Amino acid sequence: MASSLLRLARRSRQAYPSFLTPLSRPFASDALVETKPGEIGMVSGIPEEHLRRRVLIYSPARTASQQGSGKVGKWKINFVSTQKWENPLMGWTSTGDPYAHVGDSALCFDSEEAAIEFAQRHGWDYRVKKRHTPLLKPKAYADNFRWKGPPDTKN
Amino acid sequence: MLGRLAAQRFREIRQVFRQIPQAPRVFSTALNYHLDTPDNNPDLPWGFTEANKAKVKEILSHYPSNYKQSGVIPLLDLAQQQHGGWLTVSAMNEVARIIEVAPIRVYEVATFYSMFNRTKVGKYHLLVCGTTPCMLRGSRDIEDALLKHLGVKRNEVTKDGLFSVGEMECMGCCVNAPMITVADYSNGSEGYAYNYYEDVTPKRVVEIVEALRRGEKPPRGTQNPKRINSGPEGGNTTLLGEPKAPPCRDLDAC
Amino acid sequence: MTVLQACEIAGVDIPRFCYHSRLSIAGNCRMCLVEVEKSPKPVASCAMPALPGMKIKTDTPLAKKAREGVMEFLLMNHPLDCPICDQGGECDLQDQSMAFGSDRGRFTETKRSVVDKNLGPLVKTVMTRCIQCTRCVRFATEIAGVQDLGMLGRGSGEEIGTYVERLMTSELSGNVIDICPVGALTSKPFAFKARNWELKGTESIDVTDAVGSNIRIDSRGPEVMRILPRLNEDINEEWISDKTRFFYDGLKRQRLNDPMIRGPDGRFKAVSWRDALAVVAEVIHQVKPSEIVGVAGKLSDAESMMALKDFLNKMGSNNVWCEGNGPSPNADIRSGYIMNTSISGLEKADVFLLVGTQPRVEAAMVNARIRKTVRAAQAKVGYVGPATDLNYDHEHLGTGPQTLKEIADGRHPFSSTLINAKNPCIIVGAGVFERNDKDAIFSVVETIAESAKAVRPDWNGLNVLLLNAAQAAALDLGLVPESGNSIESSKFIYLMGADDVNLEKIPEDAFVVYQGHHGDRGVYRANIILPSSAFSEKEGTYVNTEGCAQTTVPAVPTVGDARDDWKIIRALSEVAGACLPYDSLTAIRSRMRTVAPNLLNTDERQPAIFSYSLKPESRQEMSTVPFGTAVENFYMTDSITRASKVMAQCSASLSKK
Repeated sequence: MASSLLRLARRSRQAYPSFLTPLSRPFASDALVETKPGEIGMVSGIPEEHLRRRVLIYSPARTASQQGSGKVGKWKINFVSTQKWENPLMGWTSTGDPYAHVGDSALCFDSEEAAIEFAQRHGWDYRVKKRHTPLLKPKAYADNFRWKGPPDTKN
Repeated sequence: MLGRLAAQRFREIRQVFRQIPQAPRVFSTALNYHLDTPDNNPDLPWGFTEANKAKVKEILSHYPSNYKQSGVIPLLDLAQQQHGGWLTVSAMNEVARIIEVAPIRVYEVATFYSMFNRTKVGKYHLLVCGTTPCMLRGSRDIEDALLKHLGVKRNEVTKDGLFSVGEMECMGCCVNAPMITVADYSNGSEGYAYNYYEDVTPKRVVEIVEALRRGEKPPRGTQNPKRINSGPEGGNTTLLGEPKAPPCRDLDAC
Repeated sequence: MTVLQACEIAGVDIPRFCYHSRLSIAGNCRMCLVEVEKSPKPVASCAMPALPGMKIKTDTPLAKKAREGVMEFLLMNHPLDCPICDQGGECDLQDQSMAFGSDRGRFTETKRSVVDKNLGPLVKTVMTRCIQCTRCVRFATEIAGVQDLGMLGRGSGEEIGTYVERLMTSELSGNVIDICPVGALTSKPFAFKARNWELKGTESIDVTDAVGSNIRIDSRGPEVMRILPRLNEDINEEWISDKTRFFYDGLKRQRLNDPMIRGPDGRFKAVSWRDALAVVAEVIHQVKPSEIVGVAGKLSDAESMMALKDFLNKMGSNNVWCEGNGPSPNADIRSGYIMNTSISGLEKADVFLLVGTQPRVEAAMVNARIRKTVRAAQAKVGYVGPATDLNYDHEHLGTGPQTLKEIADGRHPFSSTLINAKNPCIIVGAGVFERNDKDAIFSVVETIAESAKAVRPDWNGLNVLLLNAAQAAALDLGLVPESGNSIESSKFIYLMGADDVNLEKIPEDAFVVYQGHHGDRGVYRANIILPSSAFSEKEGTYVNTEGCAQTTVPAVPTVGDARDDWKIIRALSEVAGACLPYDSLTAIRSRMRTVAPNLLNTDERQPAIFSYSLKPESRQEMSTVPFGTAVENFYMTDSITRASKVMAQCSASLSKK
C-alpha cells in the first residue's frame, strides 16, 4: 500500500508540471474526483506487472446446449490467463496468475460501456469483441403445409 | 343350492382372471426397429409384379405428380398383399423409391399403423375383435379356442405357415359379436380377401379354420344360420313393410 | 410471427421443448401453452399466429397449471438418470421442471424403456430419455439434408430412430447433441468426462476449415474438454461441423513440446531453445538468399505469417507462401480469392454454379447455407466436377473445364438458367489454385460471370471458396512466392506448420526447420523442430473465406516448452542478427496494419472493392484435365485432425466420398 502511494506520488510528479503539485491546489475539484485512465489501478494494490495486462471485453454467447437466454446480455472481461498446470501432488489445477478466475466468476457488467470504463480505470489494454445477437425470422406453422410448387414437367 | 351356484360363479370369475396371464395384452405387434433376418433384410431384392405395377400406376394417378408421397398407404397395402401379408424392409424401400421419398418416411408410416405387419404372418391371418361389445359376448373364449387349436401364441405363425392369430380393434360388427376376420393372403394381391365371420362360437371358429386349411372358402358373414346379416334370429320383427314417407310440411298451407 | 416470437420480442421467454427458432414448427411438446383471452383452451404459442389485438397471458394460473401438467406427463416416462446423464447441469428438462413443474409427482406405474440406437462414433443415444420432441428429426431432414431419423411407432411407444441400423453420416450430425433438450443424444467422445459447471468457456474461432465458425472452447484446467458452437448469424448461425466439434482430442496427442535437433544418426535429440535458435541462425547465414524458402501452414495465424515474411525478407528471400494457394497465387485483387457474396449473402442467391468444389467436405457451413437457400427459395444448383453427393438437388453439368467453356459460350442448357437468374452465384473451389491452367479457368469463369451479370454494384456473385484457415490472411499479407518451383532448388526450408508440402521435392541436402505443434508429416524430413502453440493456446488473427478477420482467444496453456509462432520467429531474428522491430502483440499488429489494415478490424467483414475488371487478360490455354477433389477425407485434413482418435474412428466408419 505504501509502495503504491509512493508510486502515485512519483507518477503524479511526472504527470503534472513541477511547479503545480496537487497539494498546492487545495480547492480544485478535479484533484479529488477525476481519475486519469490507469490511476485507480495504481492505488488498488494490484502488483505492477498485472497493471499492464491485455484483456478482452466480450459478451458471452448463449450456451448452445440450452435454449434459455437468461444469462445473455452480460459483459465480461477475459483476462487471457492460460497459465495453468496440473499440480503433481493431487492433480488439481494450479495457476500462478492472480487473475485466473476473476473474469469468469467475479466481474460481470451490464453494459459494454461499464466494462470498458472498468478496464480503462485500471489501465488495462483492452480490446472489445463484438456481440452477436440472433436474427428474428418470423415463422408460421402454415409453412409446413405450403404448396410445394407445380409438378415437374420433366417426366 | 345357492352355495353351489355361488361357488360355480366364483370359479367362472376366477377363470376369467386367470386367463389374463395366458393371453398377454400386447399393444403392438412388432418392434419399432428392424433386425436383419435371412428373409427380411435390405439386400434382398423386391419388386412389384407386372400386374401390380399397373395397379401402382393407377393408384399414383389419384394424386398430383409432385405429391406422390400421398400414395404411400395404398402402395404399402398392395405390397403387403403381394408379399403374403407382411412387409419386408426391401418392400418398404421399393415403395420409397417409387414415391420418391427417403425410406425413413415410409418406415414411419408403416410403424404407425398396426395393420401393416412387419413380421411374418400366416397365409390366413385371423384377427379376433377384442373390443368391449365383442368381449362382452365372449371374444376371449374365441381367441383362446383359436390359440389352443392352432397351438400358437398371439402373433405367432403356425409351423405350416398357414395361420396366425392377432387381436384387432372394433370392426363395426357389434350387432353380430363376437366376430373374427380372415385376411386371406394365399393368392397374392389378386386373390386378397378380407372377410368377416360373425356370430362365431368357439366350436364354429375351429370349423372355419379347418375349412380354410382344406382350401375351402367358408361362407362369410354371420355364421348363425338363423340370422340374415344383422337381422334378428327368426326373421325381422320390425321393418316388415315399406317405410313411411318422410314428413313434409303442408305445401298448400300458405 | 407466432405468439411465442411476439412474446420474445416483448421480453417474455416462454418455456418450450420442441420449438427451435431455426427448425420448422412442430407443436408437439405443448410446453409453450399460454392463455389467450377469449380462447376456450390454452394455446400453443409456438404455432398460433400472433394476431392484432390479442391479449396473451403467460403467468396466469391456467398457464401455470398447463405447464405443470405437461411437465408431469413428460417426466412420467423419463428415467431417473440425472446423476449419470451428461446433460445434467445444462438440461432444459431439469431447468424447466424446477421453474415450471410441480413439486410432486403422482406416477406409480412402471416406466417404459426404449432400446438404444447406434448412430455412429459421435452421437451417443440413450433413447429412454427421449421426450419425442422431434427436434433431431427436423434438423436431420431440414438442415442436415440426410433423412435418416424418423419417429417410429405411435403413442407412448414412439421411438426416434433410423429403423434399419444406419449411422448418421451427415457432417452436421454433431449438432443434434446441442439441439436435443434432454440427454437422449449426447456427445460420445465427451461422455462422462466432465460436468458443464466445471468447464470454463472461451470464445474462439475454429481453424479446421476456411469458414471460421465461431466456437466456444470448454476447458477444465489445462485440458480442452469439448467444443460448442457460438452464435454468429453471418457465418455459421448456431451450427458447427463434426470435424470442428470433435477434433479437440487431437490437441492432446502427438504434440511437440521441446525443440529438437536431428543428430548425425538421424534421431532427434531434445535441446534448449537457445541452442536450437543458434543452430538455425548459423545455418541460415550459410545459404544464399535465393535458396531460402518459407512455407506457412494451414493453421498459421496472420501474426506469425507476418513475422515469417518479414524475417525471410530481411534475410533476402522472397519465397514465402502459404499452403493451398498454389504455385502462382494472385494476391493483387482481393475479390479474386475471397467469397465476395459473403456467407450470409448466399441466402439471397437464386442460381448457384459450383466449379471444382465440393462444399460438403470443404466448408460444411457454406454447404448448409446453400442448402438453406435451395430449400427456401428453390434455388437451382449446377455443379461442375467429379460426381459427388451434395445434400440438395443439383444438376451435374460436367466434370472438366470444357463444360465451363460451353457454359461461357452459351451452348450449355445451364447458361440460360444463369443468364435469367436475378442473383447468380458462382463458387470456384480453391482446389483450382493448384492447377496449371488456373488463370485460364478463372478467365472463363469471369466470362460466365460477365454474361450472367453476376458482378454488379449491388451484388457480387463471383466467389472463391478457400480450403484452409490461413489462406485468406496469407494472400492479404502478400505471401506470394517469387518462383513456383523454389523448393527444388532450396537449401534452407522453413516449414511453419506446413504438412502438405511434397516432401519428395525437397533436395537431399536442404536444411529443413519445422515449426509446428503436431508431429505430423513435416517432422519426418525436418532437421530441427521448434515447437509452437496450437490455435487454442494463442491469440491469433484468422481471416475466413469471406474476408472477415476474427481472432482466436487462448483457452489452455501451451504444451511443454512451446511458444507462439511469431515469438519464435522474433527470437530467431534476434539471434540471427536481423532483429524484427516488434516484440509485443500490439506492435506486430501495428505492423500488420501497414500491410493489410483489414486484419485489424475483427468481426467485421471487409468486402473487396475492385472486381476482376482490373486483371489483365490471360492468354493461357485451358487443359482438359477434369477437376479433382481437393479434400479426399473430410475428417482428416490437417495436423490436428490427423492426430485425433475420434476423427480416425469417423473416417473409418463414416467416410463419405
